[in-house]
Amino acid sequence: MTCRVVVVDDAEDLREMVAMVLTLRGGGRFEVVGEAGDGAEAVTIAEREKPDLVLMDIAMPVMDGLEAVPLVRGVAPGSTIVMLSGFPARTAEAGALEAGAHAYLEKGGRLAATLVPSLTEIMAARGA
Amino acid sequence: MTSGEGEELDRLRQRLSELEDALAAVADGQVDGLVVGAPGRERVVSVSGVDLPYRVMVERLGDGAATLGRDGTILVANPAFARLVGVEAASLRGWPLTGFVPPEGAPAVLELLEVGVGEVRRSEVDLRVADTTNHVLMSTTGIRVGAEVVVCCAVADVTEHRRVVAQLESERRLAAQRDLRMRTALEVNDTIVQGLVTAEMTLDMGQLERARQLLAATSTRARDLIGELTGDVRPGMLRRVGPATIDDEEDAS
Repeated sequence: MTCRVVVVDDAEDLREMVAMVLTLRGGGRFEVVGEAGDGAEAVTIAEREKPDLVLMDIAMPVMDGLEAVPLVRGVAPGSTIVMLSGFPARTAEAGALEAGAHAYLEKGGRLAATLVPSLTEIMAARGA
Repeated sequence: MTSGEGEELDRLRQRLSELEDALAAVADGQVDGLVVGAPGRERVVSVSGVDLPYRVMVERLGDGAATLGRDGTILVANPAFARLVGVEAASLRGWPLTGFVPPEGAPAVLELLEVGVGEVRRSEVDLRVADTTNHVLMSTTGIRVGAEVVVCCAVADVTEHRRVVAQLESERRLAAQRDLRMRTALEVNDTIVQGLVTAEMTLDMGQLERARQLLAATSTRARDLIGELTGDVRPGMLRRVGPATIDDEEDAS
């Protein structure tokens, strides 16, 4: 079954690369159904698409990822929210989980190679 | 000494003791009036005028109050004043006020003592008590008593107020520092981390030319950010002294 994904990040190049990695290396398991450049836009798209997975950056204009998480959960309660951030987990993971995210991934460290296996593992653990 | 002289001495001692008790009672406000005059021509003199409640109020006041000579000699002080300078109220008479003030605070106190009749002066002053310092707001006014001018002095302890103000200021500085650090971290994240991660992913996806462009753009943005952080550079400012660390400012309180 295909996992429908919304990618939320204010860096357009990075958003595009994440979508490309999920599409080309996801083995058909991931389909990117929406992209957003800030937290407020993410809430709108999540409400419309009701995605299985939201990949959410933290530092963004208008509304940051930590503010957006509870709102996304409100409009799309079935979505799994994974934070994907340039901030180290030791400083930002606890706050993200407290806000309602289900998992935290750090950007960097061969992300193109590790993203699909990490997300596959997280979704399996969530029973998706 | 004869037995008669001894009895006379005992009788005088007894009278002196009674007079001392009576004066103490008058001083404590326990006496409403005195009977004076020769036998058959006694008259009652009231000593409980309208100033008695005022005197009791001053004695029980939480703030310090004292009457000083022109030179700062303490003539009379209430218990609250005595507490602020750490001396028994009864033994304060005759002390110079400047004796309780650190040398650097003496000019301000001397200026307060030069207050004119009817004029009011105020200043924050430090009073030294053993190893600690009480910060007080001191008000003075001059009053003419006969040919003399005395200085009435009111003292409010603002030590706690000052401590709270200092603590709030320290917290404000720490909050501003945290805010600056967070904004700097955000800039570094947006400018450098995002660019490097994207370039790395692009390389992993085999798009060499695009990765090269991303790295070039990232290094340019990073250089601009460094320029914004440092501002104009002067000789000696960029001498390396060791790895950079970011410490919280020590609590000033």
